[in-house]
Amino acid sequence: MNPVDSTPPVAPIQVEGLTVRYGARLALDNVSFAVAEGAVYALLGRNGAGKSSLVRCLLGEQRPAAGRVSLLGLDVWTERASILVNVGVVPEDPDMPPAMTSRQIARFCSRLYPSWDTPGVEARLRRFGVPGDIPFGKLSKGQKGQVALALALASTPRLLVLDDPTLGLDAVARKAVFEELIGELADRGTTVFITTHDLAGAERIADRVGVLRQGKLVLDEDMETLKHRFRRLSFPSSGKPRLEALAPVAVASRGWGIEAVVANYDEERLGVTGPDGPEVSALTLEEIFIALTGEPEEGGK
Amino acid sequence: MSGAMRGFVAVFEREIVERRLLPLAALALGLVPLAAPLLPGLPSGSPAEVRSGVALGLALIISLVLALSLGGSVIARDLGERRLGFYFARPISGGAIWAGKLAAAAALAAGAGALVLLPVLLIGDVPDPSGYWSSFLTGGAVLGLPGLAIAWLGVILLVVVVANAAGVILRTRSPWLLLDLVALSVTVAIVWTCLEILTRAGAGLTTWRGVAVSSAILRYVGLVVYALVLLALAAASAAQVRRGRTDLRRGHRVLSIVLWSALLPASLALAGYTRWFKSPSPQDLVSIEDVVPAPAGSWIALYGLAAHRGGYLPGFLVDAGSGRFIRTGFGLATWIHGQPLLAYFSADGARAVWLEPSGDRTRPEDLDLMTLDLRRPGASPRPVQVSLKRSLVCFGLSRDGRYAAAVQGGRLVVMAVASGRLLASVSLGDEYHQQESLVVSSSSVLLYGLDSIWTPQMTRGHQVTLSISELNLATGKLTKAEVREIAMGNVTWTASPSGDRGLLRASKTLQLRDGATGKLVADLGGEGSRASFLPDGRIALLDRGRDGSDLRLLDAATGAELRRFHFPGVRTVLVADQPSPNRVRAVTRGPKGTEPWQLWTLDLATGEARLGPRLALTELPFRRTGPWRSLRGDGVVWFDLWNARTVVVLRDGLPSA
Repeated sequence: MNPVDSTPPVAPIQVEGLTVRYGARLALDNVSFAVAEGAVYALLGRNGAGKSSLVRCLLGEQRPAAGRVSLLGLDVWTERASILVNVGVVPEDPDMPPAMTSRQIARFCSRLYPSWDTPGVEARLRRFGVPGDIPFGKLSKGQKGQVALALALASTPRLLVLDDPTLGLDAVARKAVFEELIGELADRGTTVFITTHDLAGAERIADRVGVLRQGKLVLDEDMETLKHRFRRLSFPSSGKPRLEALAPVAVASRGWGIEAVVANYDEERLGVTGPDGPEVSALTLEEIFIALTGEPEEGGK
Repeated sequence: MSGAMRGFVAVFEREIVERRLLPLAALALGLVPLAAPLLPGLPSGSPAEVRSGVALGLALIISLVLALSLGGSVIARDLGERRLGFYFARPISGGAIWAGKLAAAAALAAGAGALVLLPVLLIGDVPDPSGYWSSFLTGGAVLGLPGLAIAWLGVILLVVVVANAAGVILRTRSPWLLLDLVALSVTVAIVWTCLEILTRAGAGLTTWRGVAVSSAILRYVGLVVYALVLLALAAASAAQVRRGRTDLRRGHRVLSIVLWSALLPASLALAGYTRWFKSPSPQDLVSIEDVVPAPAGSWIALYGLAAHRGGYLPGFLVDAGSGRFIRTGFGLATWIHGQPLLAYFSADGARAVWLEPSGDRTRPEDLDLMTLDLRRPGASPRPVQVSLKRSLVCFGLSRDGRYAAAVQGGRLVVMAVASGRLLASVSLGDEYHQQESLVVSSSSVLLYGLDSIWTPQMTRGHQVTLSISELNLATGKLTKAEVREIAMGNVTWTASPSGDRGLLRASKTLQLRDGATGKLVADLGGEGSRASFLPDGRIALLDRGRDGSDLRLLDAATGAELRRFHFPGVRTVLVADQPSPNRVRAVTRGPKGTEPWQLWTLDLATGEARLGPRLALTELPFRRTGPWRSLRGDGVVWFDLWNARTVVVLRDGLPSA
């Protein structure tokens, strides 16, 4: 009889009790979450919520005041260099040396990874329309992001960390980035951690969503469950509906009646259905985000 | 290739490639020296010398400027412009990023310098920098091109890490900058003070009077300070990149903590070493350069080479009886006219007076007069309000210790020791003598000058001239006398304590002469005779014969023999002191020179010689014959190099019989 390995598989990303301080200010407050193998995790949050601090900790660039981050089962602060062989990174603000061309940067990176897909980089840059012989500093912001993505994917990483890769991109470029990501996921099943303000794009690819609010992780849930849980209820009458059991997160009085967003929708608990009941509709990720954080995202529509 | 090495090479190459125009510019600049001989305003010399000199100067300047600019920007600018994350998002260790960037900066700086030199080297103008500076700057070593290259690489490395640290620190503008400034000030002040103390103490000397000093401490200290600063800066900047990573402020904090926690204790250790260096005891002397005994009592002044301290030659006043000692500033630092100027004692041995370098840094050429009451236990040296210049030619103290005289700047000056008041100052004209000595009293000052000239035509010996100048302190009148003599070998003049007589000693003659006129009073002996004045003015003359040695006491007025003491079978007789007018203590040793010392008390009135106990004398080391374990014993004995005789000092209260 063969022994059965009962050890649970190691999550590619494991964040435990992460706390980051800048002087007296708490940027991240005891944040914990994990990302399973092959999953796409979208971390959402308003500006200043702590996303960049979290990404810096995730990449071993910043040491947290408390807590621990493991990537691919290893402590990222102490094993950063060996971990990053299997990690592709797209920074929020691509920081390649401005005097180097995309091709030179690719050549530099190719020496650092055991497997490097040079034709793949060339093909992606061609697809994105990025010239390979123009210094990086002279590329547009969108092109810089596309170079960063092409480089991140070239090492066939087990894990991709993307820090707001579509920031400042136009709609066409944003679409191209997400299509590239979807293609990558379809081909290799790479684990992806992405922070973004493009909630529609994230909704297309994310399996799981986390929301940071003032340094606290206020939500960490599968996309399906999240979207199933959150509903908009429109009550045509002006009477006060009984919503306590559904965990209302927003209730507004409209001219035609009452509109509420609940975080724990359950037909049975609502009690009233049919023609007398409210009109129940699903929410987009952006609507859920607004309901949770109180205000719309700058990048959202 | 390991991952770290792969990362280092990648970063190093990237930095070089990014600045690939620099070597080309350096090569182009290297063509300028070829036209240097045609340029106006350059130092004269052969065209090859001018070309190589200009090329070397340009190469050094270019290297230094590049080391500064690249060192200050290669990491700090990337951090400030948030570009270091590019490397940290790749599988490159922090150490490889740091090493690759700084190594590239140093290689570019050094390589640019070499490329500037290349054109003149190709046409055969090899620069020879060894004559460009004094050997003092290079610690006695002649620095040729290979030496210069090594030294210059060391300088470039240091400049790169200093500029890197400064670049990071200045870009953060955090409150830690204040801490850095304070720590830097404290460290520099400590190190500067220590190096200054060590330099003034002579720690940089490599040889002394032909004695090879194995360790030039200052050079080693300099190298250790350099290595420590380089290592501390390298470790701090490596830690800044490895632990601070892309966070500039955190990096600055890490850099400061590592840097100052290494440099501050190291500078304190240097201060501790300097304190130890400056605090030797007489037992630390491995060789004694010179000793001067007090006319009475058991105090001696000595200075010599201290162990493990390079060329440091500290001076001491030592009580040979009790072992008590006072550290002083005389010795090497107060060499005048080719001889050490040690302490001067009053005739009763109660007071010592000496000169030592001024503690005031604004008066580096001044020597301050110091005095010490030797009879008072626990007394410490006291400065007198008198300063003399290092250009001093000779110095003298009166028997009562109240007056001092010196020759400096062509003038004879006389002063009161207690008050520092100037009593007389008279011009000596252009007089200059090979040896000069002074006998000072309350009424007059005698200045003796001795010159010895030899030419191949002088077949009978040297022409010796004894010049005597007497200054009457009451009238201020200076009178002069001069006698000439032909003598063989080295000639010395020793005046009696009162100056009324003197002994003119040559290799085959010993003459008693009048102290005021220089006229011959008596011939006292020939080759092998040794004589000295007793404190009361009588002369002790030693003759060595086949069956032993004779000690003869002579009348200084006429040279007539007063007493003779015969020591059969004795090779060495040393007169120690004269505790009372008619009592002289002497020590003797057998023919082998290894027997125990024997004390004798000689009664000058009756001629009786009483045998005393055997003595345990401490033999002072001469020319690295140490160590000497303790001063405690019956006294000290040493070979007086200047007068080529052995001298003994006994402690008081020894049983005489």
